[in-house]
Amino acid sequence: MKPHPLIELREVSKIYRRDRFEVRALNRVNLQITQGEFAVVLGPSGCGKSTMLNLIGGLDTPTSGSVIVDSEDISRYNEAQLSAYRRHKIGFVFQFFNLVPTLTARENIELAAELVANPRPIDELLHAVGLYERANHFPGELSGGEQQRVAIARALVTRPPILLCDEPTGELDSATGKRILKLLHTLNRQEGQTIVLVTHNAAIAAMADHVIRLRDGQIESEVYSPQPGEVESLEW
Amino acid sequence: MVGGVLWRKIRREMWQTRWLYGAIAAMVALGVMLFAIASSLYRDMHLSYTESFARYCLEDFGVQVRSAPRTVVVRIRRLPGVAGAEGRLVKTVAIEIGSQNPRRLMGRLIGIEPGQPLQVNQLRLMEGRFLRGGRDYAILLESKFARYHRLRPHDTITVLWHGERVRFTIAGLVRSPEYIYVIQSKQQVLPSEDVFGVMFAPLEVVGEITGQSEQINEVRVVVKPGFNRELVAREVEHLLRVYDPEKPVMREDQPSYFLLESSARILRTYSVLFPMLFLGVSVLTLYTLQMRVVLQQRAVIGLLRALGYTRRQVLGHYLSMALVPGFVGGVLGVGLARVFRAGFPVATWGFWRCLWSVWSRRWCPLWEGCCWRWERLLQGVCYLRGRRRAFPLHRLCALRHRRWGVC
Repeated sequence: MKPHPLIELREVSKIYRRDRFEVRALNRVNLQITQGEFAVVLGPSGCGKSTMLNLIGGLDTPTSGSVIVDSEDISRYNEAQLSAYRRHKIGFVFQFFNLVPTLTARENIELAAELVANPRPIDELLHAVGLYERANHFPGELSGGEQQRVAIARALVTRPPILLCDEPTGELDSATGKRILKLLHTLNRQEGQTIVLVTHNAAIAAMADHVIRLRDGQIESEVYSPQPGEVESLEW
Repeated sequence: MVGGVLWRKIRREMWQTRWLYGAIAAMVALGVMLFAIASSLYRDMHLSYTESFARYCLEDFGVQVRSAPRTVVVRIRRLPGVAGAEGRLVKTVAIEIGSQNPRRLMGRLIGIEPGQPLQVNQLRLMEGRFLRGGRDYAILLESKFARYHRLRPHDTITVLWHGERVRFTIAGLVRSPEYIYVIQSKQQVLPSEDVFGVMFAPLEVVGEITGQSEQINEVRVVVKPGFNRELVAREVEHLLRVYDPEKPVMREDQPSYFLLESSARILRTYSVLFPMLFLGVSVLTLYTLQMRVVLQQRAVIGLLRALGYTRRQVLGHYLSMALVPGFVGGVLGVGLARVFRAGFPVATWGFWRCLWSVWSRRWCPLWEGCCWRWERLLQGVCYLRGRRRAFPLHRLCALRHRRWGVC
């Protein structure tokens, strides 16, 4: 029996309107992602990958259709409910790390930790991402890979059931990118963290349980991989 | 509410631009300080001259007649509502001062009842002695004119009346609530103590010189509290009708009082305008700075929203950055106002030490020049209004590619 989906998109469309122009970013998309899945969304620029991530993350609302997360239709949420949803259920990892430059690595993690009642211990997270010694360094003093690891620690500190990663390796060299992917893979395998990763790098698909290919706002193909490959075997 | 980490962020970001935020706080402090000082100065000045006018019985109105017997004053004093009345013989005369190279100037010779305290417009003796009764050819000279021309008691002044020269000895220097500003008439804008002197002489002597013995040509009246001044003035005018009275001149139209009130009004206006100038500039600067900060931190705003901070929390965070210099400047301004106010305790000086010292004795030329320039500058300045603007950044910005520049 197929497990109950943690994330479900039902007939989701997203249309951006500006003046007289209309851009259909997503067109009647149906998708299911189960608990503990490592899902990778692939596609060229402008195909709607980030829009899909934004809708799942409660950063945007669909023009039509429903986004159901943990059996709740978040597309009907108001501003306050969406804020609470993002706070408790979603962890974001961005392509450009988005660390606050005037806060140290530890403080950047605290920034998210302050929002929840029972955050993960920050020292434990810093150890997990291998940055305990660099905890009091400002982002400007950290390498790109280290910054991204801080960003991952920040995303995990609120114990979110879903981790949304938007091109997390896009600004990193391949060796550092692999280290980040390894970290995410470990989180998924050892802690059962549900991860949705958006990328245009097809090589990453090899490590995913579920690969969704998007084209022109529609799902072109969906592939489930019963035995995904290891990060070390990836090449790009 | 803004969390502890965000406060740390505010602190560090403000420290990075500490000179700018410091300048804004200083502007706010100046505005608050000026407002506090100027308003209390106005309040004290108003209180001071109101109380002093009451103490020295400034007239409520005066009536000029062609000529009336001095005994008519007794009848006026008996009228209901009249607290006090004085009859005077007032003449505008030419005067000569100095013995070697005498200078000819204009003067006002006021004949008063000597030897008894005046009921209206009481004089304050600054130096010398009061007038004695009888045919004493002595005068009390208004002190600002005396100081300007370096005249002292025992010096002499020659009064010219219809070709006759009458020599007076200065008995004392006085100040009068009627001549806080020494001006000839209401048409004059600036005091003219350099060319116009006010002298008080015995009524009998002035009458003898002018050929109006036992006569007066002016009545000054103080009205009892609770009585209508206009009605009392009409009564007095009616009583004097046979002596060809002019329309009563109420206190508000009395030249010196009018000028003083105008000055007080200007001070009151400036007490708002000066602070507005500083506060307006600081608001505009802060507004510009905050707009720049918001534009620079669009990604941070998007990140905060993505992490789960509510719109109100994000707004509160950025408003806090604006409120901090405002609050610091406000506290500093109040503190500075207390310090400077303590060094300028107008109310405790009292009327005579305050009002006249400001306008004459201690009014240093440098300060006067600065104030004059400020006045000129402020004439061209009007209200500046800052407006608040919301931070309408969409939460998606954090996730979007910076190069897109769509947020």
